[in-house]
Amino acid sequence: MKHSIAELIDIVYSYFPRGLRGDEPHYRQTPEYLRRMEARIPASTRFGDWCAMLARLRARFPQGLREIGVQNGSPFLASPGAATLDRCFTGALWLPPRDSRESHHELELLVSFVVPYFVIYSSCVVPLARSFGSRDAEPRISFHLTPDEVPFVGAITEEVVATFPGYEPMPPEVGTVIVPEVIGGGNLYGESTIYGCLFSDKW
Amino acid sequence: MKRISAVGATLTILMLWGCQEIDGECWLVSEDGPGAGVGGGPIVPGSGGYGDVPPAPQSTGDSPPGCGDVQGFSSSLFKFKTTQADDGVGFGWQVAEPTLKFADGRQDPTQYWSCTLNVGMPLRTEKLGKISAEWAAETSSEVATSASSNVMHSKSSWTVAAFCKAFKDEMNRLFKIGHEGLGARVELVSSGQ
Repeated sequence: MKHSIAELIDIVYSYFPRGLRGDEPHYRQTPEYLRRMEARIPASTRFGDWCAMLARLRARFPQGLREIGVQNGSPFLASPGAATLDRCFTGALWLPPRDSRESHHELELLVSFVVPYFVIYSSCVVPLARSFGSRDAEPRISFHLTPDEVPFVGAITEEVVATFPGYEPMPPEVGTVIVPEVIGGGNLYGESTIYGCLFSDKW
Repeated sequence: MKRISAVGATLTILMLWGCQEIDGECWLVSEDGPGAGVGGGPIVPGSGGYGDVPPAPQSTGDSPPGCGDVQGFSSSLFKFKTTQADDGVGFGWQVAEPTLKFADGRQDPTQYWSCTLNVGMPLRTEKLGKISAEWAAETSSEVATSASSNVMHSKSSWTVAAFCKAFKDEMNRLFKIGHEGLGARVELVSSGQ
């Protein structure tokens, strides 16, 4: 890791005002928010590189997987002002379900555009033991990859490093550290993590 | 349809008591109606703020609608606008920023609040093809209705901030499991009372 946790938290504070909620009147005039929006400008200039990387990723895998597809989760980064979401490019490689319980299985990829790190994790949809209203299944994510996922993670990592030189994976023991005093990633105070602040509002 | 009174009702019934409020009226849920399902939650749909709701109850029948008749949030609340054109490479992006109103009649007095969301999705996906603004609005309203019911009924009372956060998370969850490959994203803009 190029940065310590303390340094990463300082970077978070440069993009998220401390002690201020996103719906407070002056939030969008704070230097931190404006800095976050400005970071989207250089990111959008790399949108073509991102799409090309996803295309290469798609081409690497057998036809059966190609039918399932590689998904671009950041079409809004084609231009800086299309959305305010995220501090990263997001994508997913859909894989076959591993058993009859899984209705969906994918590897999700996040590549930050505010720090030189990426994260790859497993995501699947499994049924709940007991349904509640329309809630009968839920997505689950895991940083512990199963043996069948490892080769795909290797391929994704190769493409990311080739496209974004100098980037490293950010491990979960760093990314899941709570950042005090800020609201990032659509969370509440005391819930915002380094991942949520420096990567995606998904978390 | 037999109407019920909140007085002496069971907890289960109370959880369903928060009804669609139309022009200041709140119809009580039918005890034996279909109100326990999706859309039966304490939802206050409309075309915007409280002042924008229709001047008369939205019912064509003689009797007031139970919550089971409520169709949930209107798709008209989700006015999608293109923020990034589909250039054939990036698939484009469209967003709607609805303010959704909620009422929880399980509390005394009834609690009212709103959540303003930013709902975004592509203009096209590989799996689903073209995503029209109309389809985006219909789908978002269905997801919001289900999410509202799921979240509201999962706790006996809510703080506004916690509800809006949970509501946003639930919409993202429902989009993910119910509309695979769509890539829709829901962001919480603000919450208020």
